Amino acid sequence: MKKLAFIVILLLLLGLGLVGAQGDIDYEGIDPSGQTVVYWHQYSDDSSQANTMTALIEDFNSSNEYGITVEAHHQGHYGTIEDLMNTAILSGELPNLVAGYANAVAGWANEGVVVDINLLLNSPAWGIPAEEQSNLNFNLLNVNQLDFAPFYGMRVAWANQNSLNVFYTNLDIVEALGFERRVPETLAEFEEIACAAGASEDYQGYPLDTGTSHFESFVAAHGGAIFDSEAGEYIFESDEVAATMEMFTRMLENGCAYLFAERYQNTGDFSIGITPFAAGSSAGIPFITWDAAAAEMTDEWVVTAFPGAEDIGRTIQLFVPSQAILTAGPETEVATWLFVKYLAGSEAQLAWSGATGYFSIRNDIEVTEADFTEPRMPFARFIEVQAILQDDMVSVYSSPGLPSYSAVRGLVPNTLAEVVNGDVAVADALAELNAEANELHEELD
Amino acid sequence: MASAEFSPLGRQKAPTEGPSKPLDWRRLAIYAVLFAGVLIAVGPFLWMISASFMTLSEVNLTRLLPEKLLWENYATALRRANFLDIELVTDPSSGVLQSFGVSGYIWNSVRITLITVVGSLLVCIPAAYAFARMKFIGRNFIFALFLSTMMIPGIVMLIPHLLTVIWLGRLSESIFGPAGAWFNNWPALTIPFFASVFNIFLLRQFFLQIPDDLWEAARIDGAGHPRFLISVVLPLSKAPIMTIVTLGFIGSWNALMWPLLVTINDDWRPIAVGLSNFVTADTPGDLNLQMAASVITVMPILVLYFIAQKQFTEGIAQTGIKS
Amino acid sequence: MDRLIAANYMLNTRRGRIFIENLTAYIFLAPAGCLILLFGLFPVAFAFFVSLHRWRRFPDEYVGLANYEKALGNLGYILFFWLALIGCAATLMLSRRLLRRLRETKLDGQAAALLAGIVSGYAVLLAIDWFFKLIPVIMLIPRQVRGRNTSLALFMEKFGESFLSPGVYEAGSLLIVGLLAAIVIVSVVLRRLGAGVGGEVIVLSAIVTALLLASVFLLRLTIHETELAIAEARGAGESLPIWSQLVFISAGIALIAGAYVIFQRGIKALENRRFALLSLSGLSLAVGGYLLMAEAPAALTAGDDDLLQGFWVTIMYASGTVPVQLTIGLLLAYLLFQPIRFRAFFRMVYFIPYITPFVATSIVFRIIFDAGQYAPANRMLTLVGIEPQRWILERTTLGNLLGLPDFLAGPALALVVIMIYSTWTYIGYDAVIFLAGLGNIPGELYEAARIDGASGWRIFRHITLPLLSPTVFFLSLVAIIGTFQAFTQIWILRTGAVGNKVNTASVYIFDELQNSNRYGYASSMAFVLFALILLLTLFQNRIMGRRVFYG
Repeated sequence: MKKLAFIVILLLLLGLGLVGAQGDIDYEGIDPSGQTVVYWHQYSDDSSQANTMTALIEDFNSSNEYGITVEAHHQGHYGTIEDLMNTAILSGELPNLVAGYANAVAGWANEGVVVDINLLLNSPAWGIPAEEQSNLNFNLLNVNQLDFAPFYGMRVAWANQNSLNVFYTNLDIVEALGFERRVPETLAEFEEIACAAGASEDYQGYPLDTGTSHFESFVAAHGGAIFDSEAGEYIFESDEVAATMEMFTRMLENGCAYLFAERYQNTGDFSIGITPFAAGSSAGIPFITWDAAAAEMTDEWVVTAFPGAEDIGRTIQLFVPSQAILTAGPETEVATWLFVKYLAGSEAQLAWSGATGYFSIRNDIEVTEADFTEPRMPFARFIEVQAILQDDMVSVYSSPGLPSYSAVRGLVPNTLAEVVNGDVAVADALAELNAEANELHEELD
Repeated sequence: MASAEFSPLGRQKAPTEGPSKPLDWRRLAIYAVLFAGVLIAVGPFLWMISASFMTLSEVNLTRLLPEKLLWENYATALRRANFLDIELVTDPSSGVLQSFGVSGYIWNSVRITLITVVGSLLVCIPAAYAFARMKFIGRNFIFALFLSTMMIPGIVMLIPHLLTVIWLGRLSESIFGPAGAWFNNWPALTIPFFASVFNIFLLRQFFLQIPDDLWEAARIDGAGHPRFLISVVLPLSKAPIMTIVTLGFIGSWNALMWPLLVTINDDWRPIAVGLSNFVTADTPGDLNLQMAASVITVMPILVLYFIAQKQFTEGIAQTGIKS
Repeated sequence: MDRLIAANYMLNTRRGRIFIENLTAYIFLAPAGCLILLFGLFPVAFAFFVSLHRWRRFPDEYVGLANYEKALGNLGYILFFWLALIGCAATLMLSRRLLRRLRETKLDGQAAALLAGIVSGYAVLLAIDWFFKLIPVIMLIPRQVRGRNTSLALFMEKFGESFLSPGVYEAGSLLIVGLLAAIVIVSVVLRRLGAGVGGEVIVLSAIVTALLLASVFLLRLTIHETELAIAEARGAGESLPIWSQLVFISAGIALIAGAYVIFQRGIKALENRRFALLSLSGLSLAVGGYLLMAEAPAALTAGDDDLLQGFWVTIMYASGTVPVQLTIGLLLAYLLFQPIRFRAFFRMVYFIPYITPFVATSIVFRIIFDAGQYAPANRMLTLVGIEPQRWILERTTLGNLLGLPDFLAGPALALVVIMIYSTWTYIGYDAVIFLAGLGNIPGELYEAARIDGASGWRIFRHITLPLLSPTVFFLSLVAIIGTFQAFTQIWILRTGAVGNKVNTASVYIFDELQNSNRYGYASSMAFVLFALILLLTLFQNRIMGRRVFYG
């Protein structure tokens, strides 16, 4: 077909052009003066994140020596931002800095609109010097370092809002149910207590989230993962995933767990003291504290890593929403980077971490009680969560930073729902999910 | 014989029951059913209003009425959701108003709605008139083509529309400068909705009913189609025009998916998107605030509906007769 | 002077008047026409174009019918055969009409008019060809200029260049030649023959030409693609029975349609013939049904399960909401039509749900049908002694909840909630239109019936309902099209826990667009949905349209 040949040739030419263009980027000797940086974020108005970010931006705008202006826009939640980015990529009218998870950013990077931050980070003129870099926490930052094809070591984004998917336990309820007053050590213990709660008059079982992140946390707790980066494929048929599915099904069947509709209802139920456990982002702690106070719930509750399967130990899932620098010409890209670098500085990190309860990407700062201003979260909680992150015994999991992950995320809840409802057998459902996920992987990554 | 029992407007009037009235229980039943219908139709709204005054825990327990009216919910919702922001700058010494700025989603929606409605009238009235009262080559074919577009699922159009808007915007931007941009500006939010096939259909139905005598008389007076349209047809068409205005208002006030895609900041973002963002934000507003925000969103449309409802419901009714 | 004479000529001759009338009409139509072309018709053609490609945000390679195959399995090919055949049939019908016109008018210079039509039809195709060569080039511009300053000037420069790019340039030149030729010939012919008949002949023959060429193209494409697929399957050591499936499924559908026609004849015929015709109809139906049942699932096996599930959900959603909504609407309208007070008030109030935004009302419905035991819906259930339900979280089907066997499973409870929500929204609209329909029934008819001693129900059944049938027809058409396009109300009320049990086809397609950005595949599915809606509309027009009583 002529048309086919024509399009193929066109694409080839374009591909060559792209490769050529990418090699050329040279940030030395660039003048970022007077640039405007458009920043899309997801911090809802009036939240402590938004207020702190606004203050930091104002400080940067008035203090930077190049007269760079950062213009921030609240664009709803991550989903809205992803929709908007689709439009922006189609039209070419991109913002300069945008919030997103690694997998979403990887999708944009596939279209060639994302700047490799390594080039800026290691730039002699603009980067962060090596000795200074040793103060950065690369465990967090490297979530956005994509070491596989087609990215080959590209750092697609910069972590800025680090939290953990944590496990909440209400010790008073655990005790009232006749168990030892401590956090369950293993998944078996967890299930036993949840079942006891479900069977009791006063309490409900475990609020089971059908979301993908929650599912992955439990897969990690079984010692598994949903993607094998070495083999380069999704492994939904693995034993750990199957065990997780079976556990969920069993718990729902036996009344040890229940499903919920409203977002954050799980931590909401936890905060009014009707369920012994909940799982959720550590960013939700302020809300739990707040709601617990409002409901006059006085039970003692603690925040820990997830209990693991036999011989697995405790695990935790990192949530690392990040900021990606988008292509815009070297001047603007450098200007954007300077803002990111400013946010990575000790002062900004201290202010950010202290006001929002997110973990810093720096090793060399310590948030003290005086710095800690998040009004709804007690400082002790912050320390409690930070201890989890610093605990070497806890293994860390994070979702695959693949473009296809955005689509696969959408498939998991349905499979989960099918299985727990007993519509299909676990093995069949997972085999189908795995086939679909790997097909997406092949097509999109 | 029978006609004496009917009023001159008999066609619109229901048949009367006659003088006998032993069936009072029957009318009672009718009223009961109708009032039940009212309760079902507006119950959710009443509760929405009631809940908007409650504390959060009252909403969570789904109480029927709040213990105390919390008016501050509205103030908080207005502020948090960025619905309306009026800035008055007065000269500090004299107190004279210097500038007056309005912003926020409500203001955006008002502007978008006005442009859409006016544009839609300007585009649809002549088209409907041509279909109803003029003879030209391919009339039936074009009309059928127009009607067939109503069957296209919106989902087919989403991406093509986006690309069309992006590229038309580019062209107009290169002609008119930045103000001519379509994307993230009023044209993308309004122009695609100007030519509503439904509106054309509705107006055509009405124009068809205008007696031919009027046209003959006008033609003898030397009037052409344009003058006949403006001086005779339009004054007669208050009901369908009112219907279109109200439908246009509803449509653009409630629009969600499309504006979500073509706005990238709050300059022109309409209220439904604002409400949706408020409700689905990563840290969503509390339920009672969501209710207050919903009430604020719904109110303008209800007010307009109450004003226009007589013509509106009659105009809507026209669409169903004789297809 | 000359101009005045010309104007007088225009106004005073019949031809002149017709010309002016046509001109005014086109001027009146121009704005709406352009906009509908741009935002109604072009997108369809464009989406079709996209659906033939791998297209993820940006155009990628041409893949033929692969996307359709992915969505519907072999049925995708079969659908295209039908489409091509329908195109051919339409061409045939139009050419017959054209021939009849030609014979009727017996004008001089018919051949010239015909030629003008053919040339213009060809020019239209040239325009489409040029356009679709141009589009991918333009679409890729944002990709080319990214990384540099995305200034408007650069974009416009690239835009200008794209018209001169290889392929596009040739097609463009051809188009200009074609257009010029068409304009010249058409204007000459119109001058000779006048706008009336000459115009009609030109328009008809242009449509016939374009349609014919398009159908032939489609047919060739389908045959080519099918053969490719079969060859590929053979290469892999399998057989792909597309041809036999095409024959069997088409035969099945033809037999069922035939059964309907014979049935219509049969019930009107006399005793003996009647019996014969009815049994023939039954036989035809049985054989056709058997063929469909035997072949359709096989043709669909390679299709996308989620899409098929989406269609199934859509069908349940439509059949659950439309009849209920119409019945309640009619009931309310009928009650409102009785001599009662506050009619205007009731009418006004019933309409309110229709005009309020989904975003706002859905929040309330989420609370009413929450899974908690204090949720209003559950409280009501508890009052009458039924277990609280999980409503919007409930995947289990209504049938299973009621303990019915599996084949009566029906929609998931969560879908039922969405149906209730949707019904609540549209009842008022239906009631208002029904009320108007009732108002149009002449009162004398009721009076006459009453004098004949007919009871309330009989009056309703034999007078009101038949005379209301146009309204019922209109409303059900609008409602069915509406339910097949329904999106927002479902998108807003669905929860993760029910998975795809509430995803109608529209919602599934939107997910595909949003999550994996496979525009090509999503477009092909959207097209299948479009075809289904068109088919349903036609079907309803034929079946119900016959029963409508236009008084």
